[in-house]
Parts: sequence; C-alpha cells; structure tokens
Amino acid sequence: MGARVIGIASHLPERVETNEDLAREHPDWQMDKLAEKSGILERRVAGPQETALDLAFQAASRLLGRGLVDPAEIDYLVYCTQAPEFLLPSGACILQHRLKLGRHIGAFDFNLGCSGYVYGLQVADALIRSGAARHVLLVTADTYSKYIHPGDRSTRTLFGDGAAATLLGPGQTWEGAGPFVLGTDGGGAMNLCVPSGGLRLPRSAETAVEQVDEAGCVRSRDNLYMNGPALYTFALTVVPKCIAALLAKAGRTLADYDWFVLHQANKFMLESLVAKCRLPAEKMLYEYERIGNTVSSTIPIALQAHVESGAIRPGQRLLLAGFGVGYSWAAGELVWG
Amino acid sequence: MKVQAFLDALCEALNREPGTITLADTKETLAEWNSIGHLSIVATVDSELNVPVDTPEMQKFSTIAELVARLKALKALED
Repeated sequence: MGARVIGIASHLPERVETNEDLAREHPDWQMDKLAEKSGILERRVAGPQETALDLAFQAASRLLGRGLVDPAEIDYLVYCTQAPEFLLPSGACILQHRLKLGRHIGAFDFNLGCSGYVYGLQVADALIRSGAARHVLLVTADTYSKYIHPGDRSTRTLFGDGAAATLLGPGQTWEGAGPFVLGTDGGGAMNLCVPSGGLRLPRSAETAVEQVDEAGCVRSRDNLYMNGPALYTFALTVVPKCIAALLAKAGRTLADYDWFVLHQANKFMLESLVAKCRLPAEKMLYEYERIGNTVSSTIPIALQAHVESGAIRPGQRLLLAGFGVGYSWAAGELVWG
Repeated sequence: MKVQAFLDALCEALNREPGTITLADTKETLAEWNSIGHLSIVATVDSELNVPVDTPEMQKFSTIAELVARLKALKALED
C-alpha cells in the first residue's frame, strides 16, 4: 500500500521578530519596500538555548499527543535538519529517546534544506510501500537564525525558525504519496551555505572576521551566505522542468490537481514560479507572511494550516515541490488523507 | 522586443515611472537597483524575453547598457 499522511503538527519558537523590529534596528534596510517583494511581515526566532531538536521535539510531541496511533506502533523516525544538535550522534537517535519511542525503530538524520520535506515523503512512502515500516514519523526542523549575521539583510529578512512533524501510515490503496521526481546539482553548493564549522574549514578567529558585501550586507564565513540572484535563477530554471517531469511521470496535467504547495521561499519567488510554470493562481496555497521561510518545514506548515482552514480535504490531490540549498529539488504528488 | 519596450518593462519592475530608465543608468544612478531590484531585473529578462537566466552573464551586470548589449547579442532585443 502507498503511504498516506495521518497527521501533521508544527512548532514555532515564541519570539517574534517583526519588520518593524528590523526597521528600528536597521533604518537603512527599507523594510517596507522589502516586504512588498518578499511578502514576509514577521518571522520566529529560536531562543539562545533553543535548538532545532527542541523545536522538533515540541512538534512531534504535539502530533503524538493527538493519539492518532499508539507511539509503540511507530517503527521509523526520519529527521531532516541542517542545524544538528551535535556533529554526532544523529539527532534522530536523541529524538527517539526524548519522545520515548520504541527501541526497535529505525532512526536517521538527513541533511537537506528546502527540498527536504518532499525527499522525506518519498523515503517514508518507500519504507511503507516496501513493507519495511508501517508507521513513519517524518520530522523537519531548522534554526537558520543561529547562522545568520544580524547585519545580513539578504537572509535575516527572509528566514524563520520552525519545525514540523508528519505521521505517515499505510493507505487503503496503492495511491497516496508519489510519484516523485528528484534532482541534485552540487555545482551550486556554495550559493547557499555556511562556509565554516565543518571539518573542511573549522571555525576560527579567521573565519569569524566580518566583511561587508557590495549590497551592504555584513557576514563572516561562520554565517549563512546566500547568493540571491543565483538561487532565484536556479529555481526559475529547475522547478518548471521538475514539475513538467512529475506530470509526465504521473500521467497527469495541472488540471488534475486540487492544490499546489510549493516551498514557501518568499512572495517574489513564488509569484515568479506561478507565472513561469503557468500554475493556476486560485489553487496555490501560501503560508509565509507571519513565519518567513522555515526551510524544510515550509511545506508541512502550509499543509497543516490549510487542512485546519478546511481548504485541503480528504481525497484531494496535491502537487508539492521543494527546491533550494544543495542545489537540491524535488516534486511529488500526495493524495490527502 | 524593442529596447525601449524592455526599458519600460524594467521601469514597471522597479516601480518607476515609464521612460525614467535609460541606457546611461547604473546601479549607482538607480536607487531601486538594490539586491531585490536586481532580482526584479533578472525576473523581467526571464518573463519578457524568455532568455535563460541561469548563467553568470545574466546574473552579474551593473549597468543597463551592459545588460542590453548582452541581450542584443543574444538577439533577444532589437533597436
């Protein structure tokens, strides 16, 4: 049987950082004009002692607290993050322990960003479809704020911290999640990255030296760097082809889908992709104004919001697409409920 | 597309009055040409001219004349 989504829950840090806060701190950032383009009015920021794993734990606890399945029946935990608790062990192992999940389960991390949720769905679907697992807990969490320099307008205004947990189980038919189309191009790796902190370039006094780029953004090699134009053109080039490939693989047209949920990068990116891919505007679902770009959690947070609003109903067919850091991209189909 | 029509499309993308961008303009002369404005220009090249924008040449330019010259070389613009 194919995998179906049994439930989704999310968790956001308490601290809200509004555009007004940023305008007060940086009067030269022209936050009003920036917000017109990005569509982002505020974002959540994790506290100094609050990690992605803490957010992941809260989201997963909330989901398990609904009693949708007995936690003892979960036999796989897949955790997507780019803000690991430690270099090792895996965050998934710590999460298994904190959630008091069974010791019989499989658990592993994978390091992807904005494509991560769709990748995770494919892994969960494959595990369930193959019979390797019956119930899979897919958790996404990131705290890019930990990497962002407070003086870097290009990243601080866009990204927000957050987590989501999705419980998948066997569906009634072979339909459910999938098919999927994935893609990778490591040639773009350094266009969205944190250069230091790994083993290739450990953090040091030298990597902490701050520089101001030609746009006036401040950062060091310890911080997140994003080449906005390169990311934009990457998405504009790759996503239309990825969606076209998915349509061909699924044997469908755009008209066959009830809703489209793309990675919620920002308004400008999404509007460009809607136009480029000729997606039906009335079928696009959005959720970024009050939370920003939460990386691998944007799609599940949007799904949860629109399930709760009543827009997404059981049996509806969704097209999901994630794209970004890596470069990495993925599109997939999901029949809801 | 004619060069002037493209310049007018850039005006719209950067929220300027039509006719207020010329070949003489640069990053220094256009206040709207910040990082977001740059993306708006790239988006206009993509949407109006359907020119592949995934090349360094289509991402890095600092004068309107430079951009127009590249697009003319690609036969995407004409006088």
